[in-house]
Amino acid sequence: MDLKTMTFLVVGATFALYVGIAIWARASTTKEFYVAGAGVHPIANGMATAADWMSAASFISMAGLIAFLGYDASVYLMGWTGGYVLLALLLAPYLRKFGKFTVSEFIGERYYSKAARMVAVLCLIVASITYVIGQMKGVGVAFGRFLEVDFHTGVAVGMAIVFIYAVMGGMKGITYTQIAQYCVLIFAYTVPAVFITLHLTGVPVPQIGLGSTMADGSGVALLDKLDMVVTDLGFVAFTAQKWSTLNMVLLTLSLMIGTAGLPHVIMRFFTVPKVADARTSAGWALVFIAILYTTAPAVGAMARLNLMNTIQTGEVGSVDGNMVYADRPDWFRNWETTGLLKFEDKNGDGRVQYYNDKNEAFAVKAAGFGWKGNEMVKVDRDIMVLANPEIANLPNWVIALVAAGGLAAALSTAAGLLLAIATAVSHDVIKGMISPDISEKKELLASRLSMAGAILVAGYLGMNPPGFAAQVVALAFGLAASSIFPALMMGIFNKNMDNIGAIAGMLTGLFSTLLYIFWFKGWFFIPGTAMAANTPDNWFMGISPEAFGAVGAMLNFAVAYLVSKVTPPPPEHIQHLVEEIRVPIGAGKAQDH
Amino acid sequence: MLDHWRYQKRCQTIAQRFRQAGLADYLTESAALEVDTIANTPLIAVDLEMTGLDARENQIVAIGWTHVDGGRIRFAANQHLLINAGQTVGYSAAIHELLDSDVAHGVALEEGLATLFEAARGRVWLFHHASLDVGFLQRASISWAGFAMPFMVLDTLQMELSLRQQRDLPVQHDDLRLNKLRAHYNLPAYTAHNALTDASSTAELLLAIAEKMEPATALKLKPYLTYF
Amino acid sequence: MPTNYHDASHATEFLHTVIPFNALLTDELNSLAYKLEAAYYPQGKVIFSSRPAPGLGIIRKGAVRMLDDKQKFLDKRSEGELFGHAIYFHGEMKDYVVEAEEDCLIWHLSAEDFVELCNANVLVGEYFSSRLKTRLSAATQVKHSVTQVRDLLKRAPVMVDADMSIHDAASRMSAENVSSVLVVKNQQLCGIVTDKDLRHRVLATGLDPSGAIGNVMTANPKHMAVDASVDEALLLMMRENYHHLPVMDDDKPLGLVTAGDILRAQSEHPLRLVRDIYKSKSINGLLELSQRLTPLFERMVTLGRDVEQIGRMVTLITDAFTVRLLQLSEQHLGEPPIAYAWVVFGSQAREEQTARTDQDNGLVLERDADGEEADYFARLSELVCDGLDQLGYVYCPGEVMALNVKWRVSLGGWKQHFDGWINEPKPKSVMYSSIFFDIRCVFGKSRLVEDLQAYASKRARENRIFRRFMAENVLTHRPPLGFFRRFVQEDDGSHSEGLNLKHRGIVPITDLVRMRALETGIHEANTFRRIELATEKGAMNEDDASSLRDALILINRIRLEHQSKQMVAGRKPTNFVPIEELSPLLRRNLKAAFMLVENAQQALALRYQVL
Repeated sequence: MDLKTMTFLVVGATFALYVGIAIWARASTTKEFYVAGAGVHPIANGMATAADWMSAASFISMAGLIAFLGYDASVYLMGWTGGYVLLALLLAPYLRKFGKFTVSEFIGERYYSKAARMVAVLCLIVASITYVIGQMKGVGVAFGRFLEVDFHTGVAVGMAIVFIYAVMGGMKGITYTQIAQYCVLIFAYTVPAVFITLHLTGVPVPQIGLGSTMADGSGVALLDKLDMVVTDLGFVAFTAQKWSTLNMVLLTLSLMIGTAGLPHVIMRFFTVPKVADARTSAGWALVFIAILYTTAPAVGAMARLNLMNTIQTGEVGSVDGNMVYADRPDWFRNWETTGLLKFEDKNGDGRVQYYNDKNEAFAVKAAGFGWKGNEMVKVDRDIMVLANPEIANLPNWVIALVAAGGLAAALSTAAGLLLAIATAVSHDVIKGMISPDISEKKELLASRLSMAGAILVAGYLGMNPPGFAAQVVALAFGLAASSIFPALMMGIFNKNMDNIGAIAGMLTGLFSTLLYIFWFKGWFFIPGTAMAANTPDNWFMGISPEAFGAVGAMLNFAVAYLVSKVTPPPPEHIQHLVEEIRVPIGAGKAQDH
Repeated sequence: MLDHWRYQKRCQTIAQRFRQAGLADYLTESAALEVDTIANTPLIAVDLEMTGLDARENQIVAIGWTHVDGGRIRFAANQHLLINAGQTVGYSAAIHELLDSDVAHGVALEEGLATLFEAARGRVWLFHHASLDVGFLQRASISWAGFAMPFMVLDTLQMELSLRQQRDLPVQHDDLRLNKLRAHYNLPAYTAHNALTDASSTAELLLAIAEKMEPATALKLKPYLTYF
Repeated sequence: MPTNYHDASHATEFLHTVIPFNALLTDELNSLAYKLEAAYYPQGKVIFSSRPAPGLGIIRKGAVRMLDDKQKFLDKRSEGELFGHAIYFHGEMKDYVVEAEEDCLIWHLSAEDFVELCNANVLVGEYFSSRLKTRLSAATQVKHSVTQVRDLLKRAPVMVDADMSIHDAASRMSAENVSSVLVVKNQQLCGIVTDKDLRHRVLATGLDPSGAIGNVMTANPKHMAVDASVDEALLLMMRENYHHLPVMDDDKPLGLVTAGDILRAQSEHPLRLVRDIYKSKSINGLLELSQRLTPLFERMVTLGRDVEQIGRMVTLITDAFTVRLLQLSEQHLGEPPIAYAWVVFGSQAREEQTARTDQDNGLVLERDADGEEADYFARLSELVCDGLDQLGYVYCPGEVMALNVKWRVSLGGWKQHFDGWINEPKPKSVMYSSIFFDIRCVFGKSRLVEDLQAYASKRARENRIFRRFMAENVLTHRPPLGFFRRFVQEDDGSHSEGLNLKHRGIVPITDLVRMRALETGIHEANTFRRIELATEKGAMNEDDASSLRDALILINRIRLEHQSKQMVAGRKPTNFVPIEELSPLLRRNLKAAFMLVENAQQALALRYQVL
C-alpha cells in the first residue's frame, strides 16, 4: 500500500476513533438518578491534560528546533516543563480557591473592574490567537506533506478540519477523546524514535540512545559524531551554546510564566473535583509530558544526523561525496512539493551541497570544492519530525502514524483554545459588555463566528509565518507572560494592588512586548514591515523577541506597583478576600454563621 | 372631663407654636376628636421594641401599628418599621429577636416618627401598658419636634385592671401581661414576637375586653382615656 | 427576617394552614391578608344573620355554629375553618346564620374581595364553586377509577326498631351524629328515615313525636348490593333523586352511602383531601385517605389541567401528608426539644410532582443536638419516613431522607454539607447538589431553611468552578435527538420503545433552569417561578425564558396525555412515549421543543467551556 493511502487510512481511523468515543459518550443511556458518575481517574486525567498541553509545537516543532538550534533549544524543554510545574503548584490552587476558572474572570473580580476584565480578555485573545497560529502552522505542514500539496493548501485544509472539529463540539470536553489523542500522539512520537535509535545506536530507548555510541562500530558517541558532521560542513557544533545566557534565561522565564495566562491549560486543573486529585493528575500529566519531552532531544539530534548523512553521502569535498539530485529519495521529492524544502543547483553539478555558506571561513573552503553556496535554500525546521521516519526508511504505517499524531496534537490544543476564545468573545465581550440581553441563540452564533474569525486570522498568519511553530508559540507565551502573569501574581500575593495599577501594568506589558515583537518580525507579522533585522546584533541586550515576554512582565510589575502607590487602595472586602485566598482549602474553619 | 379639656388646649397651643405641616394637622385633629364607642372611634394600636426599659438611655428599634375602625382591625393598615437607632441592641436581642444587622436596615428615627404620627391622625392611641411606650415616644418627640407630644391613650392593661377592680376580682402581678390576658380571653397565641404582632394583639385584646365589659351595649371609651 | 414591611405576615402564617388558601403562593397570601379585618365575638353573639352572607369568615380562634332559618343547628365550624360561602349540609345547599359558639376571633373578607379572590385564583374559586354538576360530569369521564360501593362504607349503620318513638329515634340520630337511620323490623330492613323526613313529615305537620318511627319512614327503600359499582349507585340516586342509599349484603344491612360519599370518592377536589388529611387523627386515618390518591391523580391528569397546577396540587397533598405525620408524631413524642425545620428536596420542593414518588426529605436543626435530643429526632424521622412509606411515598433509593443521620443535622451541619459539595464537586457531590439545591421547608422553623438557602446560594453564585461541574452534569441529559436531528427512542424496560420524555426532556430543562438560579442566587425552587425571577433579574433573555417555559409545558403535556391514555387502558403510566403515538404536527412541535433545549444546553456549555 502506498504511503498516501496508508496516511489516509490511519488519519481516518484515528478520527473515526475520536468521533466514535464522542458518540458513545453522548449516546450512553441516562443514568439512574441517585447513581453518581464514576469520575475520571487521576491517571486518565493526567493523560488528558498531557494531550491538552502538548500542541503541534511540542510534537512537530520542538524536535525540529532542537535539530537545528541544538543545545540552545533546551530552553523550550525547560521553560515549558517549568511552566507546567509553576502553574500546578503556584497558581492553580489559588485560582481554585477563588472559585473562578478563567483568568479574565479572576482578574475582573479581584480588580473589581470591568475594564480590568476586558484588558485581561484582550490579552488572552491576543495570546490565544498567537498560539493557534502555531497549531495552524503545524497542521499545515502535516497536511501539505501527506496530501502532497503545497503548504498553503495544507493550512487551508487544516483550517477547515479544525473549524469543523471545534464547532462540532462534543468531542473536546470528553476526557476519553483526549486520552485517545494522547495515546495516538505519544505512540506516533516514540515508535519512530525507537526504530531510529535502534538503527543508529543499537539501544532501543531514545533517551539512552542519545548518550550512547554509534552502532556502526566506530565507537564514537552519537553526539560527538553529530558535532563532527555539522562542523565539517561549517555549521556550529550541535552542543554549542549560541545564544547569550541572558537571552536563554529570559526565554526560559517567558515560557514558564506565560503558561499561566493560557486559558486552555489552566482549565484542566478545575475539571478534577478534589484538590488532592488535581495534584495527582498534575503529577501524572508531568510524567506523560516528560515521555515526549525527553524523547525530543534524541529525535532532534538523530534527525539532524540522518538528514546530513543523507545529503552528504561521502567525504566533504570529494567529488561523489554529495547526493545526486536526480537520485533523491521520495521524501525529498514530496517535501519539495510542499515548498518547505527547496533545492537550487547553484553550481550546476547535479549534486546537492548543504553547508553553512554564512560561515566565511568555511565558505572559502567550499569554494575550493567548486561549491557555489548552500543549495538547500530552504529547509523548514518543522518538517523534521514528520520527515524523520522517511529519512530513516521506516515502514509506511509508522510514517502515517506520525501524521495522525501531529494532527492529534494540533487538534486537541486548537479546539481548547478556540473554545476559550469563543467564550471570551461571546460571553465576556458581547454578553458582558456590548449587549447583556443577547439571546442564547445569538450568543452561540457569536461564538461560532469568533471561532471562525480566530481560525482565519491564525490561518493567515500561519501561512505568513513569523517563525517556526514552536517559536510562534513562544511568542504567545511571551505575550501572556508580559500581560497576565504579573496581574495574577499581584492579585494573589499583594492585597494592596488596585484596579488602576493592574490595568496600567497589563497594558504596559502587552504593548511593550507586542512592540518589540513587531519591531523585529514585522507589524502584525506582515513580512517586510520589520523595523530591524531579526538578528542577535540588533536585539536589545541580545534579547530575542521570543524572550522579551519576561522583560515585559518586569515592566508590568514595575508600572503596576508604581501606579498602585499613587492610586487609592482596593476596597476592604477585596483585601480581605486576598488574604482569604492564601489560606489553603481545608484549613479554613467550617463556616457557620 | 377636665383632663380632656386640658388635653385639647395643649394640642391647640402647640399646634399654633409649631407650624410643622404634618404635626399641626395631627394636633388639631387630635384635639377635635370625638371619643365614643369602639364602633365609631378610630384607633391606632401601637407597640414598640426597645433596647431596654429606660427612656433616657435606651432607644426604639422597631415600631409596629395597626388601625381599628368600626370595631374591626384592618390588616391593610398594618405597618412594621425598623429604626436604625445607632446603638447596639445588646442583650435585648434575646427578647425582640432583632439583631444589629437587622436594625441597620431600618429607617432613621425621625422618619419613623413622621410616618407614625401621620398614621395616627384623627385616632386615639392604644397601647398595652402605655406609660412605657409613650415615655419613649415623648422622649423621641422632644429631640425630633422640640416638644413632648401630647397623647390621648387607651391602655388595655389599665382597662383590664379597672374591670377586675369593678368586679372585685383578684389581680396577680403576672396576670396582666399581654399574653396571659390574651389566653384569658381565648385569643390565639402568636408564636412570632415583633412590634406589629404585639400591636395587633393589643387591638384584639381591646375588642375582647370591650365585649366583656359591656356584652349588651357598646362600651363608652371616654372614661378609660389617659392623657400624657 | 423582620424588615420594614407593610403587610400582615403573622396572618399569612395562619392562612397558610387554612384550606383552600394553602394553595396560594406567599405573594397571593400576602395580598389576601392585606384585605382582612379582625373582629371579636363573645360566646352567643350573632356574627351574621343577613343573607346573602356579608363575605367570608375565617375562624382564627374559637368556634361558631351555623343555624338554618328556623334556628335549627346545621353544623359547627372551628379554628382554621370557614363560613359565609355556599355550604352543602348533607348534600343540600342551605342558607344559614352564624353565631359564636365560643368566644372567637374572626377574620373577615368582604364579599367583593371574596368574589375577586375566587375569580383571580382558579384553585380557590373551584373550591368554593357550587357547580356540582360540572364536577360530576368530569368525574363520570373517569371510567377506570370505578370502585365498589363497599369501598364507600365508613361505619356500621345506625338502626332503630320500627316501634321506637320518633323522639327517641331523633335523639339517637343526633347522638350518633348521623343524618339518617335505617328502620328494621325483626332484623329485616323495612325503611329509612332522614333529617328531611323528620322535618317534612313530623315538624311541618305537627305530628306527635311520641308516635312510632315506622309511621314516618320511607318504606322499602331502594338499596344497593355491597358489590355493586359506585356508578350504578350514583345512577340510581340521580334517577330517583335519593340522597341516602342503604347497602346490603344479601338481607343484612351493612351501612349507608350518601350522595356526598360518592361525590367525594369520585370527583374529589384535591383541597378537600388536604382538609381531610389535616383532620385525620391517626396513621390509619391517613392510610385510608391515601387510598384516594391514585384515582385523584388519574383524574387530574385525565382532566388535563395545566401542568403547573397539577404539580402544585399533587405536591400540596404530599405536603399535607408530611405535615400531618409530623404533627401526629410530635403529639406522640412530645414537644421537640429544640426548634427544627422539616425540609423536602427535588420535585416536592419544586412543587412539580405529578404522581406519588419516592420521598426526599431531611431535618434542619436549630443547633447540634445532644444525645437525648438526637434520639428524639431519630424517632421523629423514623415515624414520619416510615409513615410516608406506608402511604406510598416509598423510601428514597438514594437514602435522601431524614431517616439517614447525614440529613438530620444542624443548620451548621447543613452548611458544611453544602461547603463540602461546593469545594469538592465529586460526581457524588454534584449529584447531591442537583437534589439539595431544590429545597423547601414544609414544617417547622422556616427561618432555618431561609438561612440555609441564602448561604448555599451565595456560595454557589460565587464559585464558578463548582457551577462548571454542575453544568457538566446538566449536559449528561441530552434531548433525544441524534445526528441529523432524528428522534432517538429508548427501551422503557418492557421491550417497547419510546422517547424518554422525563430524562431527556423535563430533567434537562429543570437542570438548565436550576443553573440559572444558581448563577443569579434565586431562592425559589419551582422551575416556572425560577424562570420568571431569572428574567426579572435580567439573567435570562425574554426569548430564552419563554422558549424554555413553552418547551417544558409542551413536553409535560405530551407526557401527561400519554400517561392518561395508559391509565385509561388500565396500564401503569410510564415516561416513554413512542413516536408513532404522536401526530405529525405534535412531532414537529416536540422536535422544536427539544431543539430549544439543545440550544440552551449548547449555550450553557459555551458559558462554562464544557463543549
